[in-house]
Amino acid sequence: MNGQNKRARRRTLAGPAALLDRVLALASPYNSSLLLLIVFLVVIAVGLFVIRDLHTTNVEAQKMYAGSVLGLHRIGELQYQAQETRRSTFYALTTNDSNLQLEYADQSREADRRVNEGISEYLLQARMPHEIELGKRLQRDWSEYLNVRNEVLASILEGSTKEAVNLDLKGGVPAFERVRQDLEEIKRLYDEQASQQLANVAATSRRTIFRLIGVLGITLALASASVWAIQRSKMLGAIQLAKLQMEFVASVSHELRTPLAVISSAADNIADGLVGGKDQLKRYGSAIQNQCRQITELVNQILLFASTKDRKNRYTLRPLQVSRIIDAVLDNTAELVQEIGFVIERRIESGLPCVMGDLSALSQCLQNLIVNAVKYSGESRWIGIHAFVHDSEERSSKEIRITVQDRGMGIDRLEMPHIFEPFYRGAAVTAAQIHGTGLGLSLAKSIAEAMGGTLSVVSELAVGSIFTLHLPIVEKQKSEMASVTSKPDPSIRT
Amino acid sequence: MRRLAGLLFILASAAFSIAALSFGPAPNSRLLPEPQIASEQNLAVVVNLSNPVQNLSMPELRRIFLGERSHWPNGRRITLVMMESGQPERAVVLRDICQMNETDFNNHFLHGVFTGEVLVSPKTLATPVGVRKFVFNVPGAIGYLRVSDLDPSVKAVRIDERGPEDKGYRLHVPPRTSK
Amino acid sequence: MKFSSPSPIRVNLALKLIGRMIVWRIFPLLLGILVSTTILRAQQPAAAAAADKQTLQLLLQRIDQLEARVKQLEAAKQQAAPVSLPFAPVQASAPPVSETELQTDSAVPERMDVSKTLLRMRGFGDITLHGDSQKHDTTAFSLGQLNLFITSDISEKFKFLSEIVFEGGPDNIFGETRGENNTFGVDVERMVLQYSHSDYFKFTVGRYHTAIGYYNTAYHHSTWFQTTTGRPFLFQFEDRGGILPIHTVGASASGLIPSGHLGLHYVAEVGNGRASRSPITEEPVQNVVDDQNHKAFNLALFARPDAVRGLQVGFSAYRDLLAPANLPRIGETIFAAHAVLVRSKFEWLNEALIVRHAPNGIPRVFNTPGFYTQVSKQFGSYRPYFRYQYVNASSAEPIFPDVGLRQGPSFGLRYDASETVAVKLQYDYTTLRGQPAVNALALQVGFTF
Repeated sequence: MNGQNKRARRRTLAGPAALLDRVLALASPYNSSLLLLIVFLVVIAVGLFVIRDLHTTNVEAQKMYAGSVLGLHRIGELQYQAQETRRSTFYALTTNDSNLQLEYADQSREADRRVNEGISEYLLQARMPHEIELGKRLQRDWSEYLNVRNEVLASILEGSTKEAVNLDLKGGVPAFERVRQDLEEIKRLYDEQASQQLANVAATSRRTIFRLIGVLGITLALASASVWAIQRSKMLGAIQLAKLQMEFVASVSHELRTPLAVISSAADNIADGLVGGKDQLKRYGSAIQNQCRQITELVNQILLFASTKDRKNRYTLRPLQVSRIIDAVLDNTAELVQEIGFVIERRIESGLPCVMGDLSALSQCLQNLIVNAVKYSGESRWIGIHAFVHDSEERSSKEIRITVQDRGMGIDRLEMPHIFEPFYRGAAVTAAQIHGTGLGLSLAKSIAEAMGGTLSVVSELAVGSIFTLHLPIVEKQKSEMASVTSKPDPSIRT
Repeated sequence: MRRLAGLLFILASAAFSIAALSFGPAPNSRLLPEPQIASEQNLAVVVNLSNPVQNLSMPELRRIFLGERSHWPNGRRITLVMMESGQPERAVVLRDICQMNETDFNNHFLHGVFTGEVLVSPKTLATPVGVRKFVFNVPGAIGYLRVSDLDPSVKAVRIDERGPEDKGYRLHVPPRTSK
Repeated sequence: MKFSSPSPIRVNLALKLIGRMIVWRIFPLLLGILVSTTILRAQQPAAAAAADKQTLQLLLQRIDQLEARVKQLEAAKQQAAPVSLPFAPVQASAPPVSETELQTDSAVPERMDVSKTLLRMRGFGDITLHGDSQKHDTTAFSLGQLNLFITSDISEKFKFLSEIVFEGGPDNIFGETRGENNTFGVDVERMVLQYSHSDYFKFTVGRYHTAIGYYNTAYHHSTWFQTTTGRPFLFQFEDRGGILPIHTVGASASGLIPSGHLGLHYVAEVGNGRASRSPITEEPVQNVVDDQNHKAFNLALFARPDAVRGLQVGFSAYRDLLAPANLPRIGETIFAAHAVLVRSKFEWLNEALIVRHAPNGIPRVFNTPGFYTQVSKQFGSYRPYFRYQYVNASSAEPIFPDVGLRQGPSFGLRYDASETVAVKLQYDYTTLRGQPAVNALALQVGFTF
């Protein structure tokens, strides 16, 4: 009951923590890429900032041109046409020929028509109340002047030249003076607007420059930091790898030294004739055999790891019965398990479909898991192997899961992301002086992935670990073929 | 005195008989409007748009064109606009309104200025466009244009309650000769 | 010429003579005129139509030539630099002026060039070859009046008008001859400032022709305007023996009377009147100083009905108080009536007046009647005319005792040699009281320039 409660609690606690561990485990290999992405995004943001500021400056400059430069040109044209209106009226005074007088009258009217158009354009584009008020005042004053001008023209055409001049002096001159002042005021307004807009453009440019400098500086700093971080990460990785390799070498050396010492000792004794009888000779021989077997296993593991990394291994995939795989593994590890006094609980669901795989590889994979379970069980002497069908978390179909569970020391959460790395050995394991090469889990994961599956782990310190081999289910036809040569369904054995 | 009266009577009779010939329809005057020849156009009498006058009788028109009227009812001085000598429009005005020839018309104005009865001599312009523009520019101006030369810048007045587009309008001008 | 009081016998003889002349000479002449007029009138339309067509063609050709010439002149004018213009023209494509230029433009006083005026001058003159049957008169060429007619449109409402006349020969003022025969003198015959408010009110001040009758205001000092070689007796100028106050220095108001188709006009005048002293030793028109405070008044009314084109009928009344030397004051009243028909080709003038002089304290009133009638008709460039005039002043007339009876016909022919030159040939037969009748013939060239 206690074990079930503990298992339930472990499953609950393991949920969010497992998710975080999974994210971190996923993120950690991409630290460099993440930094580069951040730098890239910052550069994009900077670029967008700069583009926006440049665009704003451009718009300001265009507005300044349209509003002020064109406006000043318009005012200049208005002033000229207003003068032309007045001049043409006076030209009519220089002749007594009615036909010529009419021509000058036409010229004056044409010029005043252009002035009226110019004033209308100005009123259309005026936005500020002061501009509109000024435009309306100009329109009013111009209309008043035109009334006087029309009377002057009529008097000239009638032949009352003196009266025309008096009329112009009395009414035309002050009216035109008012128009002139209005135009001057509009011109002053345009000047002020131009100056204001120029100041805005200058301020925007300055702001843009400061922003650009600031942001480029930050970008440079970030990029430098990213490069430093990436370099450091790579260096640390290299250091770590070297360290791991040294540890592997040390571990391998250590693993080899013990059997070699035993073999050497036994061989020395035999060579020295210190062997008493056949029984002692047999014991020495058996010891040499065991130690040679261990050395052979170690070398095989190393060679297998090497071949996996070099992708030299060619697996022969064929449909396999799960029970057959488990039986093969249990056969291989029976002696080790019995020797240490472990109990293996074997539960295989009935009617499990076949999986595609290489029997020896899958056996090696499960064997590594079992060996680890044995090594890291601590005081516990129980190992459970369970095979069942489950929904795949990655695919929409079902999969075969083979779990190897122990009730040993468990794995620290911080070490979880690294346990499948080659040559990695946790601090607790090293502190507990548990021998190993650090290749077992890496090898098992490689094999699982080569079979089209995965290897996952759920662990809790001082509670135990469950390693799960996820294998895809084979297609029905291959499964039917495999079922012809399959062994009968296994039963639970202890 | 009786003889004197008799003498005067004889003289009067003789003069009347001569005058009767003049009273009769002059070769170029019309008592009734003649039917318009299809190729002829009507000659409109035009004034400034601000002029309140809408209709003029033929005698009034004659007085205006002979300078015997110097002001419009609104007080504005009348400025008479004529086309240059030789223009068919001018010939129609002289013949149908003033009932004078060119020499008589000029002498009339000269005499009028001489006696002080006529204040201002008519203005003379070269083209119908000039007449139209002059009338447009001068509030007191009066001139004449072919109906085809009219535009909204001037106003055509009615003569004896007849407009240029009405039947029985009295002023007709021959078509322009193409050059 | 001198006037004397006619006797009744002589008047009857004269009337008989006139009657015979009318029956045997004038009537056939008039009949001939009537017939020829009819014939000419029949020919005129066709001839006139043909002439009009030809004239039109010629005029059109002339227009083409003139237009081409105008174009040439305008092109030359555009190339030539403007001379002495108050404002130099600027090309339409000139760039906008700078601010300083604008300020300069507005600072320049924009006034008309005062050296230019609106003065117009027209001249009139005539030269006459005349001769008559009066004793001591000779046939001679005479320079007539050289008349400078000056107008100036001062403003829309004000106008200046003057007639400055250079005339030769002695002045004849109420029978008094003053001056040398062949010397010229200068007279400002008219000088008026005219204010025209509207057709209903015009105001004139200065020296002008008094609105007595028709002839005095229709004809002034130019013979070229007149059909005949000279003015009728009645309307002779004061310095030529005239009996009416032709000129007045004063003020005159005139204008239309709203009367619809009747065309009523009025004239109301007040002025210095004529000099009263007799014999006259000074200028009869009181230009500068009136010899008395009493002013002369004149009121005239005339109508120009629309119904009859060219007709004018009117009436005037003139009132003045004269104070001749060594005589009681004389109230002068002049009533005049006229009926004239004036058209471009025909005129018929009829005027009659009576001058009443009523000396204070004397019951007798001296009436001087007078009339004239004048008729003429245009035939192409020829205008034959006839005039008959009459004036009968009593020999006891206190102001102009020398006038007497004067009457007689005038026959003439005017030929317009050009638009500005007229040649007139006129025969006058004048009977005078107590004197032999005078036959006179005059050939006159009148012109304007």
